[in-house]
Amino acid sequence: MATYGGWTGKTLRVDLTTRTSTVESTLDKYKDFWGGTGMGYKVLWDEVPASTKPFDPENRLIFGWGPLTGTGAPCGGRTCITSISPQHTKNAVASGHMGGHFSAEAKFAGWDGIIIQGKASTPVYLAIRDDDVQIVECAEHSSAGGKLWGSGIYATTDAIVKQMGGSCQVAAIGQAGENLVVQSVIMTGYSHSAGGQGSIMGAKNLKAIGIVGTGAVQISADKKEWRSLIDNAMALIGSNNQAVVPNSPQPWSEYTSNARWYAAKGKYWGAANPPVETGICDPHDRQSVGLRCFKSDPGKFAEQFTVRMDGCHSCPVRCHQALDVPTAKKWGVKSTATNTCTGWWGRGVMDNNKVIAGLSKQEADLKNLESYVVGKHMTDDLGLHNNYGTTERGWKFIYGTDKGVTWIQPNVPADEWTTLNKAGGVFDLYEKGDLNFIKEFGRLMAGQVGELGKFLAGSVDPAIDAWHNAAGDPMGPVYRADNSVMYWSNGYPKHHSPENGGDVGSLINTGYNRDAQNHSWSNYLSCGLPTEVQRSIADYEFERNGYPAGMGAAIDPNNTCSPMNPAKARAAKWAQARKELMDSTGLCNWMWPWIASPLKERGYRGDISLESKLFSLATGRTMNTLEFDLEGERFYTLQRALTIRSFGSMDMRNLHDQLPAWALVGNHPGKVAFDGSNYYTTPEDWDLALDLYYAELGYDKATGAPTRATYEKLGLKFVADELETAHLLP
Amino acid sequence: MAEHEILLPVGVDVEAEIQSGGLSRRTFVGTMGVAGATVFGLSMFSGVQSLSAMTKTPILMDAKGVLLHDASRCVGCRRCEMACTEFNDGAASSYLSRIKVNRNLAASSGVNDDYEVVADTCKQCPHPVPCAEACPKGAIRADAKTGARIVDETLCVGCGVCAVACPWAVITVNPTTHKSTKCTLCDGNPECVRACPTGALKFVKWRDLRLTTKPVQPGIMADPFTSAYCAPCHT
Repeated sequence: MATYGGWTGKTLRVDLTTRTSTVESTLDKYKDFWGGTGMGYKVLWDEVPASTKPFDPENRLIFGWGPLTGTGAPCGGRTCITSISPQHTKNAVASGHMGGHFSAEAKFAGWDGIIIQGKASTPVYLAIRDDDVQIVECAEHSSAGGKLWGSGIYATTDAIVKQMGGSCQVAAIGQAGENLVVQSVIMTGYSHSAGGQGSIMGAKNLKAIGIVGTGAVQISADKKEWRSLIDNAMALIGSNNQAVVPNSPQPWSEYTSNARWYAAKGKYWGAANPPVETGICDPHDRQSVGLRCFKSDPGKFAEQFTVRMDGCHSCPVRCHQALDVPTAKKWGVKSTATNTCTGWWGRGVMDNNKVIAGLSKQEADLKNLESYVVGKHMTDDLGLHNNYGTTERGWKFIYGTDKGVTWIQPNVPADEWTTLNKAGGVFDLYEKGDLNFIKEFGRLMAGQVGELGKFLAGSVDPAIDAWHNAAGDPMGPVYRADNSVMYWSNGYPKHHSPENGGDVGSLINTGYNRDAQNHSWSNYLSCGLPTEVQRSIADYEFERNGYPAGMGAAIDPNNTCSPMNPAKARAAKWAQARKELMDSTGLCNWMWPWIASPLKERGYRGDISLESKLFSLATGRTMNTLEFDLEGERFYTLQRALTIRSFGSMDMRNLHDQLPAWALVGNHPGKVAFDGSNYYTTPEDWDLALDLYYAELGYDKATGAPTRATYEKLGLKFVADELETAHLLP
Repeated sequence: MAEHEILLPVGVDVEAEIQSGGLSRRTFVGTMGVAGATVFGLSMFSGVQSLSAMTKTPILMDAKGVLLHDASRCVGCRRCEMACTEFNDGAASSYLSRIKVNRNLAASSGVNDDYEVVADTCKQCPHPVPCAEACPKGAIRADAKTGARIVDETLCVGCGVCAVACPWAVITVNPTTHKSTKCTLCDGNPECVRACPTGALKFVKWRDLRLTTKPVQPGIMADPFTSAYCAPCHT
């Protein structure tokens, strides 16, 4: 067996039932299923029968990363956690993703991944110091909150860092995960959450993993060669989500856009000491890469409260905003808070009109900002997951315009309804725009308090199908069709679907068993370059790397949809393969791949072979772009096979790959498909989309199930054999 | 007391600064948390040669430059750690990095909650250089070009005294090579400075950063006024 760099060569397996740990050889067992998701899917395929339920001890929770984790490959701080999903109606495979520094520390400790199985008899946490692995009783330790099991994520993390030292990185669950709340997270570094799996850790009685590493990740290539490649990557990098065009006119840029490159003269991290001006950020100035993003989700008003930007290991882009809002303390939370995007979700459950009613602009701005801080602390300490906005939108749906009379009252007992409506109760707080609503909402959800708490906490499909209006009509169909809820399927929402690339986006979002968490294509559409420039770059860059010509034809600008074509099928397949590769190398799919760069002298071209080059040089296992993408295709197809096995049906076309009603133009009176004014499609176009996509992937046209030929081409003959005996092979 | 037996916390070793009026004793000692001079035992140095047998008193001329870290701009990305180790050692490691960020991250967003990330860097101390003074093999010298205090690996035996001696604990003994590793300023073009994406790190003309950077451990340092080791210059 060759010796590779990148990988440590060791994967840790912990059996919580027997309280033993074993070491596996990463490359003996997972050479062709590495990662990250590659390894996660392989472990599930080999070890977890389809009848297993997420909370069963026999379920595996696989913490994975990749050979680039812990290195200076830019934007490499991701952890991918794979398991069978408590959110999914058929408990199909899904991954959660968290950033921060956990996986880097795990690599330094000498681990390529951690496979958790079994269930501890009493709550425990794992304390890993290099190759010393301890299973520690929670009862033997306390936190600032009291007992470790029962504490929030913050106190748990503090307590374990205190035990294990300042370099320790911790992944933990809060009370939500302990209480088996399906909509819960695993979190590291106080703000980086992996969605949808906190309850699996809770079911295993595993409170946290603390890890300290004193080792090194070997780079296979010559130091100078590696340095040169890192330089190359840092020359081509843009800003957050591959933004390559600034958000305001800059002397170096011929374009401006609404992309996530917000730096400018006069824009300061206002709460830094002294304040830091983000400035012009010429793309050739390497010492300003980390100033470019300055994504201020609460708006311009928050800039003066920004201490700095934050993010994951080795990432120069820093998409987290670290705020200090002193007046937030009056709500009983810390004034400092960092997060990004829907990580700020707690505030989203409020009706903003109610929050700012009667306030001056200044007061409203400040209270709005406080709601970000309160919301983040509520969710990140309790460890709640928002299912990419489903919780907030779902709450607003059930509360409605009649304060829950239609959808909540018929489904809760009379005494709960009275409690919800009492003065100072949760509805009263909501109506008053009182930010304490956020905390009360979190308490109900994390504790599964009452029927409302259980509804919010649980898997979406069973919840919405069980609830009904006073006449007994089920909520499910109404909820699923509602344009504001934006439900997708099987209990999960849209996340970069038709609004980002029409059919390509929809194919991407459909391909998984949760919201796709896939930015391979959507990033490019949002990079800020004009559409025609994007098309010509895509044509060039893909063909240069051995893909069929004409990839530019796959591009639909954001919020539009044009008819399906073969290039779009190729784009969707590529986007999914790349996401698997990011999840398996450790690179961040919110940044990579880079079809574009901010460099005018390159015609704004990026380099989609960069990841394969980084992989090849770090590991010594050389792959060109196409070979590298084939690895990702293997992982994706194994994920498909797992899904088929969970469904007990190979009819993915009808059971898995259908669009929600709101994505079809016929449900939007007055709208015409493909006229550039909307992103909706038609059933016929979607059928064609699936036809072309299945053909591209080598999946059966009628069912969308991979064929034996495809499985075998990808080194998955063992999968084909097993599925054939189960009559799940076309 | 044997000539090599008198070692005192570094708080006392800036006596000269205090004598010259450059620093109030109470300020510095208060910072150190040291109430007064303390004598450490020397059992760990039982293998040290008699100082009179050493070839040279290690008086190192000032370095020409030094790393300056600006916490207001640091975003905790740790690309400095990666550049330091990957480009010098061919392997990525926070533990071995000669600029240390990882160990301060939890303090930034957990215990202290002020989001200030402090990177611990080598001050390229002026004479008396704690690590050089402590090294029983005289393995730490000043680089001819940059003045950086560098470890001569042919002399280093990996005893780790330098790591204990440094008040900022920025020296690590590499567990694989068993050699001390510390900041060399990369021959005058520090990789960490080049790698920093926000300009939080600068390579500046040498200035004394010892007094403005809180030590993280007591360190060890000879008292120039009582150690025979220092006597040739300090009588």
